Amino acid sequence: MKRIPETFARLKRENRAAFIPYLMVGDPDLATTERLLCALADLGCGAIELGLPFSDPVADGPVIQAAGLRALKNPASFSDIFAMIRRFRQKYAHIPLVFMGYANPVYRYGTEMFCNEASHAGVDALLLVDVPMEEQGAFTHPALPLIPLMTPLTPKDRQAAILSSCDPNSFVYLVARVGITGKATALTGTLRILYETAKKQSHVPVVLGFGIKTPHDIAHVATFADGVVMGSAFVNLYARTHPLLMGETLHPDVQVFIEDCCQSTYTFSKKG
Amino acid sequence: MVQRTFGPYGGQFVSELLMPLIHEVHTAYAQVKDDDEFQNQLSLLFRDYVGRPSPLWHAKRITDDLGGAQIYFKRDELNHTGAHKINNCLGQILLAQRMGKRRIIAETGAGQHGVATATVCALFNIPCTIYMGAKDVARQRPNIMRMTLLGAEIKPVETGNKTLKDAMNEAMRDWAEHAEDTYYLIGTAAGPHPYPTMVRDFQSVIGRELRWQSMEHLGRLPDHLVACLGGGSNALGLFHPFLDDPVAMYGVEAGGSGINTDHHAASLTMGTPGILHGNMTYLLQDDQGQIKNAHSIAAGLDYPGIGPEHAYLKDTGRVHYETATDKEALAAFQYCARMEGILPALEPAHAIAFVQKLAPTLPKDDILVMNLCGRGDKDLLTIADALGIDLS
Repeated sequence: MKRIPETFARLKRENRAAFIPYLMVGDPDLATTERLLCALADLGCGAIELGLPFSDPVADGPVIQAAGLRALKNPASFSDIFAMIRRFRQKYAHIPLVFMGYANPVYRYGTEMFCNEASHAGVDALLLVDVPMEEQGAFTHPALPLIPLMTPLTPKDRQAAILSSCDPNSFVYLVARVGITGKATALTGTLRILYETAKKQSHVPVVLGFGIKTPHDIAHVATFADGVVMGSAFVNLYARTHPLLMGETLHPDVQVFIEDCCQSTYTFSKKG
Repeated sequence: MVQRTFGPYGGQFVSELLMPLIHEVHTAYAQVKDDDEFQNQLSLLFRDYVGRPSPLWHAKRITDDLGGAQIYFKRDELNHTGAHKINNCLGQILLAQRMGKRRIIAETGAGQHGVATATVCALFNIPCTIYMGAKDVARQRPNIMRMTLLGAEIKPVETGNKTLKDAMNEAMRDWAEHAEDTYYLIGTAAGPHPYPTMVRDFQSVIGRELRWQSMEHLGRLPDHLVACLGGGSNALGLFHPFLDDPVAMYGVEAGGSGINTDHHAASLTMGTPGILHGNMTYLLQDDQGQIKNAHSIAAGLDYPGIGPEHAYLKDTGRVHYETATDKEALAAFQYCARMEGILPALEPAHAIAFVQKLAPTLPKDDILVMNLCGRGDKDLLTIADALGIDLS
């Protein structure tokens, strides 16, 4: 499937960046995740990042740690997760879905089987936080491309290697600052330069994430980026909203916030 | 060359954010590994600051009582700060200093690595922050006091099971936050490459000393080596210089309440391969790849993983891995105290418990050396509690 390149190409034609919310699968249960996923797709999100819970999320701050713990209280199996995604795909054929998680649950399940089943269910790519370029060999599978990470600390030659090895059906995730998920990122000119340096060399979309909190942040990043991920801020919002869903309908606070986020992705200018 | 993997184990499973830092540590270590000036500086610190070589003690009363092999203790509990941990800390602080790092972070379980880190940071005048599980903070009060007096900042970790694993998670998060100026001083032969190899190399002073001590005093190499295993650095330090010799080796894991319960830390005996804290190794995990909580009365063994080189040595069969329970360790602690006048830490008490089983099965002229890698002062409160002694 080419949902990722097709979606980014379409958004570019529409002068939009992709708004990519992150949610933790199974937080607090799989039924909530499924309804939330449908609501996000209905509201026009560019793609959705599905966090896979792990007991020891060393790259994550308190909000996503807590989301993982909630999900692990009554853990969903990968086969349940894949079944949920298959149901989602019957209604939503085009929106890219990507997994973000840690290596061990995938390794334990069996990388080959995981990639095949995830791909068949309708997942488009996989980001494993603790699998850098050096360890990608064992996790590279034709059915499910990897999403590589780049950071402000990644040296130039390493950036080039990461970008050139990225699968054309995937994208690169640029981490906006050092640290763990959750804290705000200062949206400065330096960030734009960082992004544009990476983007210049890239044959795939480059999305920016870490510390994106508000529609205003998104509007700023959308002026130069292909896509923008919102993790902790969105998790915090949906986890604190009660009731999050009434039937299939999102709580108005969350709905308005997501609409604002999606609306903020229009750049009103032509990007290079 | 600095060894990167051990069979399928080891590697560098960390976030991209940490990769430049890990490469930097690797490059720096590769430079000093065979650098005479660096190694001489370290040797002098070992001699004059730590008090090395640590003695090789013939535990005659225990030998006679068990009635088998001649039992010797490699007395790393006599090192400055009371455990083998200082060997590695001195090596790494010299490296951090060469790298121009201005801040040190470390994780600690029993607090011995924390104390050793705080000690070298005081000596080298570099500020340090020690992450320690809140549960361990409670059960290792004397070490908290020592670290505080040495000027370290202690951050109790309230996440997870509040022990070593969680302290390591927090230390890695801190490293990602302070990537540019901070050096992560890992306390055991685990974590992302080059740490498992580097820590092993620094701890190998134990086995190298034993080689010449054994030749000089006993006229030959030992027949059997025994050491306890948490992350596995004291065991590797003892074993590594003998891997190519006909010496039998036994690593003793924490059996907690028993390896058939859910309360133990026997990663090699009961675990399966997986990826945690930067390396592929044996882990205590469930069938969905979630890491289980370990349990041991000895905080320094209370970890659901193990250094990757041990994983390899298990698979190849070069080292035998055994377990001792909390109860056996407590009994062995008391036994050693009364028989030899030595209070061992609860960690090597596990090794003593196994020696009590192994030695009687061996011929009297066999030489068995056990690494007495830490002293028991830090454990007095835990032991009093376990034995129902009221100290108030």
